[in-house]
Amino acid sequence: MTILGLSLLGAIILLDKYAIGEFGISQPIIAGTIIGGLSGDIRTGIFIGALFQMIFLANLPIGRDVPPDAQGAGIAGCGSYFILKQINQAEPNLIIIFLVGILASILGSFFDIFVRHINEQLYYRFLRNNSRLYLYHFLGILTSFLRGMVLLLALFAIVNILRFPIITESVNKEFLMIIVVSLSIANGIYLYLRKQSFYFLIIGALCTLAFFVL
Amino acid sequence: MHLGFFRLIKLFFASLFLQCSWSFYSMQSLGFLFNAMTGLDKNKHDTLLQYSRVFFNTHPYMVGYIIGAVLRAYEKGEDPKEVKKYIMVGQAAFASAGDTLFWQTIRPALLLLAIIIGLKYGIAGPLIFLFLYNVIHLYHRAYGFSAGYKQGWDIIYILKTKKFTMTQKLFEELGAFLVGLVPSVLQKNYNLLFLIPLGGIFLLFLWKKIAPMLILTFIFILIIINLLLGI
Repeated sequence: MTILGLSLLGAIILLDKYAIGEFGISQPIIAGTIIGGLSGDIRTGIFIGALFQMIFLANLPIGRDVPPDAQGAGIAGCGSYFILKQINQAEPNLIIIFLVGILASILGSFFDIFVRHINEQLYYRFLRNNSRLYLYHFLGILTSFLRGMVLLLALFAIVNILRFPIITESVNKEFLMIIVVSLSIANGIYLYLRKQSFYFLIIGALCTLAFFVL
Repeated sequence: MHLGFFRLIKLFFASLFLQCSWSFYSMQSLGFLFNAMTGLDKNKHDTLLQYSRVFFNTHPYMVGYIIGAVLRAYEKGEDPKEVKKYIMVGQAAFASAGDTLFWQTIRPALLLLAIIIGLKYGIAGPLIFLFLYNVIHLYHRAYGFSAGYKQGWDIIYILKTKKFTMTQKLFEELGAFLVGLVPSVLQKNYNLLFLIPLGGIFLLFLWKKIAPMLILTFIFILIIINLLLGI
């Protein structure tokens, strides 16, 4: 897939974040599956998507809060992996993929704020002219799409130009998995630790223990 | 009072575009007007635009309950100023309930399920997530319109019904169980002891309400250190 194709696909997937439907397609694990499937390696797509999903599990878009862009991070990370694999390396550096994803999540939230300010201008225009409600409302889809396109195109272009060092895969993968799973456990405990659900957490942990021992 | 099948379908599709023009100032105001106008008779559009052009923000999957009640109120000829007051109360109640139910409980639980199954068995994980999550939220979207239209402003009491509280409890327990199960995605030869201190640090960050940006920066620094040592 070309950089433009990946950015286009990513920007369309990103519309699901809030502009259209919110079916969960933009969640990193699903976006990773789609990008991986279209790039011919669905398992790696799921793997990278799952990594980003675990990091951003407790990312809650409540009220006016603009949390780091988990969806953008998943798409940017997964897309970068396949770009690097295509042009650069046999086995791309997962840590670089990770850094690109984190950068995307931070930049994505700034872009989000910017787009919401543009939408505010659309609202003021609507206040001056009631009859154009549909036009100003649906222009919001365009602003969301452009946000995704600009963010991803810029990141993918940088990934395409730079050359990154290769690190032994085993060190790379184990280190990342430990960090990510730790954060995911912390996220999960933060979300679900209540008196009544505590026993279920223990049962789950015992099942894991049994899995490692048996 | 019945909404009618075709009107329900129209409203359902309109609700998928609720947050297109989300902004800080009016939040989902344009989306709310667009949704309400989709289901309302044309001769009431002017009244709606005059009185219900308000700040609006609720949970996107729960908007049907409010729009249904708004449509009923306008069709029964209720005072638009009173409708405006009810909208303000209803949006806050459904926003809070929806955020807790979907963003904080159902979605993370199903995502954990997708992660565990996905890392072990491939595409089955994401597919299970997409199926279960969409069945639940699409049901709420569609049912919300008809229930809101039938019950009017009493719809707010639906949040206290057993159906809601049980669903939340069920997914909280499922989520907690899956959190315990997450380490099973690691390989047996990994150094699992690191999970405890790292998990503790991250949990402390979350409990102290340290901004996600700072947590990401901490991970960033850990990665850079690893990168330098690795090279």
